[in-house]
Amino acid sequence: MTAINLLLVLLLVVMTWVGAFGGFFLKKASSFNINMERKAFMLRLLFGVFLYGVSAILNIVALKFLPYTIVFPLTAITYIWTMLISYFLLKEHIGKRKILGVLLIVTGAFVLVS
Amino acid sequence: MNKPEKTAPIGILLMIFAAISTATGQLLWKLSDAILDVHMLGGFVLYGMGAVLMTAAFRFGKLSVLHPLLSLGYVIAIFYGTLFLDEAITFNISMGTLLILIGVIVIGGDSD
Repeated sequence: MTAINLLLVLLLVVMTWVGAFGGFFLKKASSFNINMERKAFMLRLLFGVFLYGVSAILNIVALKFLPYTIVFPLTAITYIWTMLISYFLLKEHIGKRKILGVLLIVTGAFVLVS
Repeated sequence: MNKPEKTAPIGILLMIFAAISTATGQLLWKLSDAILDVHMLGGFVLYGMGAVLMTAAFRFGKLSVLHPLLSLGYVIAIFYGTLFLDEAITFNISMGTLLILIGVIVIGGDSD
């Protein structure tokens, strides 16, 4: 693996990590009442959108070097982070179905680019 | 605070719209070739709309159920790739898409 490839892998990992946390803050925002708790809502919404935007810019950079049909599926790694974040930070139940589903999605993404 | 126990169908529907919006935004970026032009700006608008739709969807269910549904966008991406970018659909692409779809159904059907 060349240094460039390693850099692209790192780029994709950071991109998915930032994307997953973007989702987390959007989820946090959605739990506030827009009228009653406007500041708390806006803070989380803006931070979520910011992370989502950073992930998008990394996505554009990745698209400069790799084909669309490869970059987009590899973002499936995001949902592995989402499951971890949901479990540890939101205390959501992660059962066999969710683990199986994410494994299917990630496997599908790798089959797609193989 | 609003903490629903089960995922409502409206949450899933909003996530489908978010997936369409996000995938279309990403297609526009690919078409823009990383230059700040109409395509790229349109991409940002659609991508942002995806984030807003997602936030709305998250009101109606759990992050671990709803966020992975965004991977429906991959199926849309394959469709766009063939339609607009002359990318071929191979056996692996068909199989991969099928696995992703099954994964989405397995997670989407899990209301808890």
